[in-house]
Amino acid sequence: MHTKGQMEMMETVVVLIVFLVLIVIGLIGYGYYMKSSIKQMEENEKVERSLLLMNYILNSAEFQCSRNNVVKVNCIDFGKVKAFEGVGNENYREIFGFSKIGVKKIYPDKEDVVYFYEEGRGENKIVRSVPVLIYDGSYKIGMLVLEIYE
Amino acid sequence: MKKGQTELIGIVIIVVLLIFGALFFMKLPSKVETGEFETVYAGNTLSVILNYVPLYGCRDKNIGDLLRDCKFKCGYLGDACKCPCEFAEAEIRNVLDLLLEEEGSFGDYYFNAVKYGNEFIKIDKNCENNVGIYAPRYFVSGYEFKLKLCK
Repeated sequence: MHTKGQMEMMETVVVLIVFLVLIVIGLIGYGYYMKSSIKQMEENEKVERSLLLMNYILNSAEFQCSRNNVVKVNCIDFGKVKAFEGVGNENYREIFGFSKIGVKKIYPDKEDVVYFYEEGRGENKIVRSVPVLIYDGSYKIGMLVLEIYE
Repeated sequence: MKKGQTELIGIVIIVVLLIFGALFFMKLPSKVETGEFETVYAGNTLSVILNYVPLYGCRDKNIGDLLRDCKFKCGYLGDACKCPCEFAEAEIRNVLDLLLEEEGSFGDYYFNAVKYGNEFIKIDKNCENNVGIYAPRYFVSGYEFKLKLCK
């Protein structure tokens, strides 16, 4: 036989348990959300880095095509790319970070990608490529390939 | 304080906690908007196509110049200088097919060229009326070129 005091105590305990269960469910849900949100933020950060790198490469004198001081937009000079291969990755690590950057000719003839900066690290990466003009005596259409690592 | 009042305060606290939780969920926007890279990709594709100078084209004219030379269609794919419409159209198709195959996330496309409001070239591969990403508008002296890429 329960007394009134015991009944009230039981009621308080049940309310506390329900409250705790609600908090735990909320925390678990929040944990899952945070996990996917952090992963999404990491992906976004890599996409943002790839956009910055792409912008840098297409607008830097080290790579862009120019004739009589007139710069051609979205164009990479293949001769400059080949020359860059010998410069050494360590000089550009501060700008390019952990990434692999290359160009690939596609039209009129398809060729393999030529990497001119290779500082890949680990497995976690995103690969993005954007169309560019490639000049190597004549104009070709190709891709600027960016592999962004963590 | 009566028991009813205490329980009411408890409910209010729970509701306030839930509201704060919901606000926290909403307060983590992503920095890069979805589709930003795709828009850049489409913009680059259009720019690269229009600035491409075909090796066996018409002198040093790029595709954009050939499209601006496009007055009437010859009806066959002949000399690039005599039939710039057909030549440019064939090149655009070839380039887009290869580029999109290489990239992988887009399959179809819609390209059109308009001069003072009159469309004179239209290349549609199952994309005109479907959902897709538009390249930023490209204007050159009275001409407008549009490119839309579809998944």
